[in-house]
Amino acid sequence: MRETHTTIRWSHWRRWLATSAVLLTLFAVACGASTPPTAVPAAAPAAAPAEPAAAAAPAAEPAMAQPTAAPAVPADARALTETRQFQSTPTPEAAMAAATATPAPTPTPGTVFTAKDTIYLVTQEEPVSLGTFSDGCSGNVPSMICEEIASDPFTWIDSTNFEVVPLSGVESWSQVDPDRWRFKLRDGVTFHNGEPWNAAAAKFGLDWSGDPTSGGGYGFHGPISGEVVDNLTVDVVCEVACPIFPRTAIFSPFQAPEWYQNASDDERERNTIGTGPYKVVEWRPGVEVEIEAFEDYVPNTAFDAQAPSIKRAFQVWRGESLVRAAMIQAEEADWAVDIGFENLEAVPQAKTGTNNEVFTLVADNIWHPELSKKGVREALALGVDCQLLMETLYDGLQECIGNISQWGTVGINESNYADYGYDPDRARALLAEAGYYKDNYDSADNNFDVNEEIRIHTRAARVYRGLEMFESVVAGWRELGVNAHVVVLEPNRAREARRSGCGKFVTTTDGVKDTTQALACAEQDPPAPFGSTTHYYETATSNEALDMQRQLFLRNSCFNVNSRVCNLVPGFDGLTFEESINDAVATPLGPERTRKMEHLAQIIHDENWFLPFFVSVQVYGMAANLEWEPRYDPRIRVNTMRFTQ
Amino acid sequence: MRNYMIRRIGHSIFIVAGLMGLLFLAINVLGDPVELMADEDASQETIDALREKFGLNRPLHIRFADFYWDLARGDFGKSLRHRIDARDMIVDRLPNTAALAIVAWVIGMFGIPLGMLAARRPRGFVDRIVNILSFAVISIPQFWLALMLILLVSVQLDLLPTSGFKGLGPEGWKYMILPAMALSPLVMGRNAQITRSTMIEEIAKQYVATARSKGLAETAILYGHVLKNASISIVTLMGDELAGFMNGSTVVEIIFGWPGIGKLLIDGINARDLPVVTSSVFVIALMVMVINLAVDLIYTWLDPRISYS
Repeated sequence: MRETHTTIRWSHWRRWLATSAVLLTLFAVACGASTPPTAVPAAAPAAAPAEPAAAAAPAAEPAMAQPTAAPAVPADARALTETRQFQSTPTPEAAMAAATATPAPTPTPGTVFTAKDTIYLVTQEEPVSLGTFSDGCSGNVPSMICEEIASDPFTWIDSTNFEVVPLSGVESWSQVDPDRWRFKLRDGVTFHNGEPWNAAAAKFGLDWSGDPTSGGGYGFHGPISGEVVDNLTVDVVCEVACPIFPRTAIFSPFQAPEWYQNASDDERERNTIGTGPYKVVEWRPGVEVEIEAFEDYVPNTAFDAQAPSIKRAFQVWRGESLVRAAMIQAEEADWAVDIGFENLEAVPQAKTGTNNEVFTLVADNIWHPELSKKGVREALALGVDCQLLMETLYDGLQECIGNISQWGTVGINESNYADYGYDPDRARALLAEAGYYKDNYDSADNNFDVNEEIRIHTRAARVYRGLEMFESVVAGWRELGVNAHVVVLEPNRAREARRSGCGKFVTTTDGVKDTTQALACAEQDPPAPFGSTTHYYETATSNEALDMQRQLFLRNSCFNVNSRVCNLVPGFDGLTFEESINDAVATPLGPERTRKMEHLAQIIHDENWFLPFFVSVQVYGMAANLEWEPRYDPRIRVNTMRFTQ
Repeated sequence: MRNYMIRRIGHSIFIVAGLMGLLFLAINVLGDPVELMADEDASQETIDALREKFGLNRPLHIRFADFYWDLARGDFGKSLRHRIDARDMIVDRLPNTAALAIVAWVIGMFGIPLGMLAARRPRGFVDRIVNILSFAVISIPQFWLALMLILLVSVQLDLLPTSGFKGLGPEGWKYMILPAMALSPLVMGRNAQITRSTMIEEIAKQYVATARSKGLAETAILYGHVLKNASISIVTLMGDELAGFMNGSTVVEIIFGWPGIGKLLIDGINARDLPVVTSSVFVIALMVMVINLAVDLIYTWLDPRISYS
């Protein structure tokens, strides 16, 4: 018996030893195969410097896969952004110059291709469509071909100084009336199929862009239409005053009208015949998109309007950031977006740039019984140790901010951009003043669940470590006695949450809008599709045109479905907040517009209608011999890339 | 047999029709595809215009009737998201999913001889090794294994491409290796386990003792008698696994950029893209039914006592 017992015990141990050996072997393989964690440089997101010619110098140096090498990014992002702010805030002279910009035409050099004539670009997912007029051509990196590579919009925003510049098809522009801009087009520009670029073709695109059913640029400039003045002159007519149209014209796609009108639905989805520096060769669904340099592209003076130097490009896609980084390491790709902070040191060259999206929580300022109180909102803002979160979760690469549009936006200044800071004692006092704490709340035991619930509604994997961040925020709020929870919503439900604002009460009958109900949205129940208070919902809101106009209309107007603000406080000069928005938006560029926008942005900041965190940073992986600088937004132009060898 | 086949096909049509109906209701009740289709910041006018453009503003019962009518004609419609024919999208990707599934499944069949080796001498050295390894590979998440294979085989050793797809011809075979290696261990482990346990069960039966006492060689007993009797369970599992692969190995497809049905279906569900979802589910259901039918027919060959007459 004893011998048998010993045999059994020994067999048992042998089994455990063998199992442990196998698991350890697998573990060792895994650790040996993975890149060792390295210290991420505590530097700000790389931003393009003042001069395009010097773009390479202060930006991140090629970071070889050595733990000790640090990209040479500016040590102080604040200094960089201040420089940017000084250059971007329009002075009266700058505003007039920008409004009537007449860049000198540049002789067209022949296209010179680099020795390495093919580039592989890796994005997160396959484009939904390649048609620039398609609803599926949305403003994200996977849609870069249809958005800004195959089709040149009228204008572009220079990432170094935030000034508006013309692309290939435009020579100059001037404001004729408050609601009319005149664009002088360049001669000799053609579409990819040889159709001429002229005022009629531009009108075709403008009419599409201004149609509310078309989406796209409509969200930036509202209803517009084109009017032919002569063969190379077209007027843009806005339904309402549009003083910053050249800025919003960065979202004005154009396609060869004859081709488009005769193309089938499939052809319209699978191709863009634009005037951009590259044309679509083939889309192999699920595999890759091939584009090639348009040899008749007419470059312009702007950096982003230069002739392409790489002959062919392929867009491929991989859902995992590690795989995208691995492709760079294995030299299967030359450029990859969003490789993640953890892979920064793994690739031959890594650069960071903002993607213009402000990761923020939108408070339900109207229907939530507690979030409708300013004291509660202010307390919740003060109860977030944002600096600690940025250092812990993002190695200091993200910067805490206090407003919903990035630095450099007209309307943003030091005061209304400042982070709220961390003051839990003050937060508790504010909550008590606002009557948040119920009678049976016991601060000693912190039985927070007796108080009114406040949720954070978020989506999964929207922003790197977003969920971890919100869990931390909620933990901090609970310390204050707030009954807080994070709820991850399925994508469709998350959209419903975002789109259940006051604008849902706007009705249209026979083409006539009735906004009465929207203006009185606070007196009604929360609208469908969400149907109840959205508490805080998370969003990453972009503003590529860099003017507060967009955020005011989108997030602070009674008439937008995304908004939870409707005349909650007065505006300026005795106007309601809604009236102030319209007044500011109609004001021409200059100090007066800036003053009004800053006033409204200050109200947004002080009222805590939002809880902004940071401008999201995008990490790009690149081949060692690729030269390219990230922009302030995630708009990618392959003609700005070149191989150095 | 013929009557049986006809009955099975009839049942299958009925099941698929019911499944399609459930899908339609689920997609339409659980969310609005137009809200997902439009840009996040799109105006309500844009949303309403899109809804009208795709006929989604019609009453549900009318859309339901149109849906079945189109289904009967084999018209799945155009993808709401991509605006191209949904059936074409599936047909393009089906061979990719099938090829990867078959390769991974064939590799997984190596688990059967391993299970047989283990069953020859229960609690012996080989049995213990097979047992440990099969449990280990079943426990490894495919996601992790796929990423580790990329880092080790492609990045560190530079033996194979990290990911991608270059067709199913000679040029594309090397792109299939890592995805198949990521998929097959789980199948291999399960096959080894099931084979081992069913064979041990069979070996313990009286007829094996009789065969041994008659002087038959051990190999003849194992392969001629035991394996055949044990193979009902093995074939059932193999059919189930192949059917599972045909659903599309979504995680592996995403990681390796393999253009298969799995990712298409997941994207379609997330986007409430009814045409893509119905065409994917229809094709997958069809394949699963064919596989189940084949398994049932194989039963009759393996065990003459089974008859569908």
